Amino acid sequence: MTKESTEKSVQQTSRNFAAELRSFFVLCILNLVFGAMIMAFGIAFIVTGVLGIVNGESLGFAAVQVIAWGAIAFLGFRWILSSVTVMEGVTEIRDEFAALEEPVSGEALTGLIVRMMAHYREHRQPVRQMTIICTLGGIVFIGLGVINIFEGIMALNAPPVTGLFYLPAFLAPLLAVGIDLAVGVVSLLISSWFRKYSRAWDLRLAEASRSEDALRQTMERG
Amino acid sequence: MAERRTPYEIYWEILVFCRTPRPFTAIINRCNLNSKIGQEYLEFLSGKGYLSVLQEGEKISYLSTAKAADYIEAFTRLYQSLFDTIPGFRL
Repeated sequence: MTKESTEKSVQQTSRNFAAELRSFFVLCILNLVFGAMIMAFGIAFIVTGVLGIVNGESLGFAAVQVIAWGAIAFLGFRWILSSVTVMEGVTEIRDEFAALEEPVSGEALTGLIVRMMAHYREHRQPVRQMTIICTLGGIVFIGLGVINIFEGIMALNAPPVTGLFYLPAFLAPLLAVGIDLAVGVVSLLISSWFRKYSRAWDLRLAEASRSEDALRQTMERG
Repeated sequence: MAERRTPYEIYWEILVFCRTPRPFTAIINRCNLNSKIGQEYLEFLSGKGYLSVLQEGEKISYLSTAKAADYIEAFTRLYQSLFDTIPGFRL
């Protein structure tokens, strides 16, 4: 390899590394936002459930609602915690990469690749948890969306809700269907992106392990 | 994060850092190693001839030898190829 082609290859690797870092960072932020949204939904509906109890709704039904939304709020909380754990370190690596002078030197880049490898080894478990939590979240919200569809169908002939606003009774479940399905689909998408990320890094770790033989031989020759 | 690196990654970090003479404490701080483990790595690399030990009065420092260049180059090539040959993650 000539010096020029080596330099070209380093810059190409640097672009690949930057693109991947950017994608992963966006994924983490997206994940954090969705975790927060799910926790907020959970808490909001817990409050609604408690208010229902205060207003004399059937205690058993309201209690089941509060417990169900409590579980969803907890899922959102776990979601946020896992996102923060996974994000830890990546922000630092991203800042260090951004601070590198152009053209990026091969060794500085390799140093950051080593750190990303170490980061993935350390956070492999939380990333897998994230995949499971996002899948669960997606299924829960799509399930809620389906329940809301039935509620909307049942409310088609119900009298309109009056109060501050005049609303057809089916409109509230319809809005809920939209929100639930959107959150559910995005959760499943996030889960599949995490799976894709894991696949890429598992392959790299496996390849790095195989490369250790070559490095050992280089060491032995030394 | 030290425990999540492989020995080969740590060798590489030490050898790159010691391109200019470095004292023991600077090496363990930079490479995030404890004294005992750091000593073991330095002894291994010195024993293999990848590091030379320079003594100036009471000051001891370590310097990568010409032999280390082969290892640094092989490692750098291998690790960069992980980003070139394996399809990466994109949103």
